[in-house]
Amino acid sequence: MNTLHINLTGLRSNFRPYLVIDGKNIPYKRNATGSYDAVYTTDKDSANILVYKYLEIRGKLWWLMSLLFFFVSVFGIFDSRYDKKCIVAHLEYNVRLQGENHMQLAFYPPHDKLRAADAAGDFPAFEEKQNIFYIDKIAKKRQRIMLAVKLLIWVALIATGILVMLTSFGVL
Amino acid sequence: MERPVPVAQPPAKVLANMYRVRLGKLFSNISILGLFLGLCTVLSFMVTATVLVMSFAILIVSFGTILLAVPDYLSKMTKSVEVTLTVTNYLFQAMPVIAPLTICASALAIVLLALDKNTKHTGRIILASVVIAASIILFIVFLGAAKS
Repeated sequence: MNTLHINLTGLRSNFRPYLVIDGKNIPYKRNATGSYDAVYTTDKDSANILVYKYLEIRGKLWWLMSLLFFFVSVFGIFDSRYDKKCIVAHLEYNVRLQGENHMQLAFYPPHDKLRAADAAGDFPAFEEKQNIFYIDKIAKKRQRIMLAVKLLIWVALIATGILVMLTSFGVL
Repeated sequence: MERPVPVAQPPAKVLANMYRVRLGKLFSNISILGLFLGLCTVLSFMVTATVLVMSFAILIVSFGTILLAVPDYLSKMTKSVEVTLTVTNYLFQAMPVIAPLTICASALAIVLLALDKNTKHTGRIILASVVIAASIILFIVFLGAAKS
């Protein structure tokens, strides 16, 4: 049985990526020092580590869900904001495991096309396949579309309100 | 550096978690508005009482001479109390609906935010708990006042 202890540092409230090891989403917990710890146990002697920052707007029915939340939240008044920068992280490592293994991932502040994190560990072998921050252009485009649609809805709503007011006062 | 590989669509579970968190935050925001309206009701009661007490205090302190200076003082006083009473009455009647809705919204927010395994929403959960407690107290107080 091999165990992998991962320590993640440099995470922020608006940047909490998903840690996926061998296809399983591994939750991580905040420790006393303010960094995050995750533990993964496996019978295999290697592991594939993926660190993703997913964006909600990249979902399948993004337009439907976005509009649904817009209406449920009373035209976006009570809705929480979407990630404006659309910067995603993509890290992938293949590591060989032997007994107790420790890995440290120190994240940099998110910046387009820059290295996402520095990795260090006490593995017998270690391969870095991906390590980058980049702007998700599809997500950015979708966000712009949704912003335009929401603005149009607001304009229509205000225009309707004015028309109703004018009609009720007998101007029209 | 390798060319960035576009990140695939979020898996269904991750997406469901994101929607849960968004809905939880939405309910949390709604519950804050509910609490705000509850506090406004309490405040409007206090404002009405203050206006009434102040008006009478001016009358007593001036030994009634205010009636000579402002002949329609009593009607003005009644009008100002009427205005505040209208607001208070409106909010008071809405409270039996607002308070349970606020409690439900807060409870839903707590459940939905607590289900998120990736990020802890301690602040919002504590806030929602406070909103529930305050709403229950307000609901009991207003229900008691309405019955009496």
